[in-house]
Amino acid sequence: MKFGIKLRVGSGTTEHRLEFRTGAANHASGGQLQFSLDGETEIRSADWVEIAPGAYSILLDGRSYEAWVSVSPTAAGSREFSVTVGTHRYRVELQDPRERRHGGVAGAQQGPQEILAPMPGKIVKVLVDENQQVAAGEGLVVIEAMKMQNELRAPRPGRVEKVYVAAGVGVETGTKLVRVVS
Amino acid sequence: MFRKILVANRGEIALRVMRTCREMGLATVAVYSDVDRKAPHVRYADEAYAIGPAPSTESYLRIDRILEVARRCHAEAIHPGYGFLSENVEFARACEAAGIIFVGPPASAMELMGSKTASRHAAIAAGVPVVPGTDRNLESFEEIRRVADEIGYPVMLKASAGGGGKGLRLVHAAGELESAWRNARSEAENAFGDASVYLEKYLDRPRHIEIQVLGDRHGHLIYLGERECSLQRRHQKVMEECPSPAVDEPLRQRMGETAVRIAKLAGYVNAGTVEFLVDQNRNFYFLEMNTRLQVEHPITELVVGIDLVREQLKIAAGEPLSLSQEDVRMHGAAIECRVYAEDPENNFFPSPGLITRLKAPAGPGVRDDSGVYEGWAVPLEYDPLLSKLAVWGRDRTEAIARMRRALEEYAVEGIKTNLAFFRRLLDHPDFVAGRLDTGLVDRALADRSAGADRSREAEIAAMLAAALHVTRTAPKASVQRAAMGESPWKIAGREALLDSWPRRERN
Repeated sequence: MKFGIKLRVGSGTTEHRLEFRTGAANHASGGQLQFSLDGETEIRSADWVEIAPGAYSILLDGRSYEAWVSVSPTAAGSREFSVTVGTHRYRVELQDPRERRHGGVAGAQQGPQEILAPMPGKIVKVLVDENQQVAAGEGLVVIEAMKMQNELRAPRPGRVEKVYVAAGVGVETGTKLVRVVS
Repeated sequence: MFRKILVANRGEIALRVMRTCREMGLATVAVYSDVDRKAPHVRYADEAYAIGPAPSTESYLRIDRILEVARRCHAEAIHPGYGFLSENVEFARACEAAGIIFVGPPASAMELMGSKTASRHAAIAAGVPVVPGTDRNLESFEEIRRVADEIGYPVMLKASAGGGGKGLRLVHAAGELESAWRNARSEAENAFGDASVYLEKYLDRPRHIEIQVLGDRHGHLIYLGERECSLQRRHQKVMEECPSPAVDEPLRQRMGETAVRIAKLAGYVNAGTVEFLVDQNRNFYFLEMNTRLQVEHPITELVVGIDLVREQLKIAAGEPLSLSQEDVRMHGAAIECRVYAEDPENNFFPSPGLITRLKAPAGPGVRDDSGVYEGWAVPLEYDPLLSKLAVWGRDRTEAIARMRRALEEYAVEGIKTNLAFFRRLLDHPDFVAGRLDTGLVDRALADRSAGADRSREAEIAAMLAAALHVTRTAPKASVQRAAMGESPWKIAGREALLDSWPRRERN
């Protein structure tokens, strides 16, 4: 199987190509796999086993890693996962080249992202206008909640396609605030 | 000794108190608000009663409802925990009037020490050094300005009626004084219903060091060492340690004896804490007294080898202290981190929600006092404290290594936590060297030099896990396509081409 991968950790993103296959001796929840990264000719092996739903113990040349996979709640239809390995959290976005070929559901790695209110509160200030370009980490909206003011920021660079709220408006958890298109 | 006790609190402290009660054979009664029906303290207690909707003012602060529950279930005593009603004089008096034992000091001691200005006044009268400032509320701006000029800038405006960082304003120069005074008064009015403020000199990089005291109803009062609480964010403690790296035995004795003197003055009984500020020349000044069990009490328990809640219950039942001052020994070092549901990447914004995964650390020297569990939804109506993670080591170096290890083991998913912030703080050179002061946390936060530590192998593991996950959970695409009428031979041919290995023609 082949995947194009966008790997995000912290505020940096790198892109990779991963080719891997599981061996004949595999059973349903563990076994050996072989892989090659970024077109390198070296093929490596890994031993894997599922330890809990979505959790994998992976041995890479004897070194032990535990990876916890959860589906990222961003866009439906994209294959973006939040994977925790040790104390680090990675965002792994997968693209299966076969889907492109058959015109199936394309991984929505770009596309609109709705920024939602994380909890009930009141909009203090809207920091952007529609059609404004924003950088990753740039402030979009200031919300007051739980007696504190907090600035919500753009998770990645893009253009503000729509602003749903204005200063003074009360919001609930999940209320749409801003749509950013990458 | 009474037989049934109601714990008028929630979260980790309610559970912690109930554990000691169970060890002592006491029946425990929990009270809970509508959002706490599935809370750990409700599940743990022997009996549990609903006391109202989520907001504290309609549940955990409702003196009438809590006393009604106590009467109904025949609880003989009430432990108030910390926060909520623990320092509420009206509540202590209401318990006394209802013939229910309040596990804490007498209402009179609570009242005297609860007012910052009254306690300062009492301390001065007792010859105890206090932070230079006023010992009474200042009503007019002219008074404030005159006193500030006398004391000398920088000065700190403080709300008389409360704490927790509210109604505090640091003023560097005379020009800022008027607006700071207005803001402090309005914040104090909103938070405590009392706009009174007073003034203190602001010490340069002070250390916040507090002394644990314990007194019984027979007049015995002792101190149980100190706790260093200088690591604060927005004037709220985040990490504490015992003993303080800055305190040697002679200083401990002087501060301890001073704390006992103050407590005696107040007629204090049960557990309490006297807080001091210590300047760079190791002069200490009385700040205030907390007339309750403190959040960070576990580190004293670990180092002194005592169960403070047990002592509180025995004292409340009229028993004498089980140890004298000579018996108190401090052994080893302990550190505690307050694990909060907040997002350090987003200015520590609270992060309520469902905890989808929780694995707390364990092993030698690790104590996690938790108020949550996997599958619990952290409500937004209360302080978002998840747990207090404490470790003990034979010395500070071992305790630091142990805390690092414990923080690495701590896994929480579904909500954000400040664990990553603690991991960074543990590595800060000032922290490791014991150079602690109340400005350290802000300096550590500003100094965001370390980026994500990128282990290439860990990244590979993450990618492999995601790939495994998707190939194992997605239905086989070829089966779907066959079902839609495509020739199985064509499908197999395509599969063979796409899965063929390796593709050397790729660049």
